Amino acid sequence: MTTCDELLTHVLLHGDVPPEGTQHLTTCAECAAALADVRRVTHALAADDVPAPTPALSARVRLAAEPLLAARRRRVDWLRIAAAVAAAILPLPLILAIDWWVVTNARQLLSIVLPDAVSLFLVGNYAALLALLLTLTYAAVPLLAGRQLRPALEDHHV
Amino acid sequence: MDDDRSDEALMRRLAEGDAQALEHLCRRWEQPLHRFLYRHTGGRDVDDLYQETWLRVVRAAGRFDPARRFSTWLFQIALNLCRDWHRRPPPEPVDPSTVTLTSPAPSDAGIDARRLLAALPEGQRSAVILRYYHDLGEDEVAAILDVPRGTVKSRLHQAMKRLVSLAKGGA
Repeated sequence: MTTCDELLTHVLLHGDVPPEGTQHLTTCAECAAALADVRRVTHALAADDVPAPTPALSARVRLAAEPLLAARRRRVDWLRIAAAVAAAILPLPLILAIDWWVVTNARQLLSIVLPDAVSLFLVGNYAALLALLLTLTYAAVPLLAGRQLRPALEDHHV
Repeated sequence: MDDDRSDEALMRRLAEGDAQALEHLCRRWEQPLHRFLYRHTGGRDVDDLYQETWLRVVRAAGRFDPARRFSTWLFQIALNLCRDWHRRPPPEPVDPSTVTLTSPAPSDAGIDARRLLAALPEGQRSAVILRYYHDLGEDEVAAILDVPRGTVKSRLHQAMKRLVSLAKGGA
């Protein structure tokens, strides 16, 4: 405690004279004179209480915040669904390459034992079936991700 | 404090739109925030400012840096709103010099603390409220006010002198 300001500010904030300030007060007439005034201010500040918030205030905040929270939830849902779709799309080139290899080889093998038109018909059907299954699988990804998100958020309680 | 219930964890959940996280934060910080706003504005428009503070918290939840203290961030938002509020024109023209003359009955030893605080410049008032009523350290007050620690100290010194001078004048 070195200056008059620091000593008096300490008294203002804490209401007491620090041990190292006692000596200073015996030699500094200015601080000694101001001490009583500072204490009066401290007492006035301490006596000033504020009313508690009404219970309705929290309910009002919740109500006002709900549209913002709902928008946040929707955004998080979309981000998670996008992440799920991106993760599902990642192996797609490999799946398509394997399917292409299977279809072309099947066509070659079948054309040895069957007439060309028949083998083309069979391989075409097989390729169409693969394409349908692939489409259904990828269409289900965002739906499944969306269904899994809701319970995850609902379980997120304290 | 349990990690799942820390302010920072609750803020992560709030950023995902968790209403319960908001409720927990509100419950935890209701009293300090309400008191801060009340003292800063002298009790006017406190409910509106309180609600707007939380709405800003929700809007900015995604940008909250968990490395920072939530209380610092919350008080910064509240302080910015108080600054905006003080910049608004008063509902009726008021001569600032008459404020002390129209003071209600003083609460202690002839001094009205609210009039004293209202008479301080904004920076000094904020420093006194955060340091005295909220018992925050100088470092946290400096972080909230976004000023160096030395500035907080000098503001407190200036506030002390001004408060004493106002008290002598019968605020």
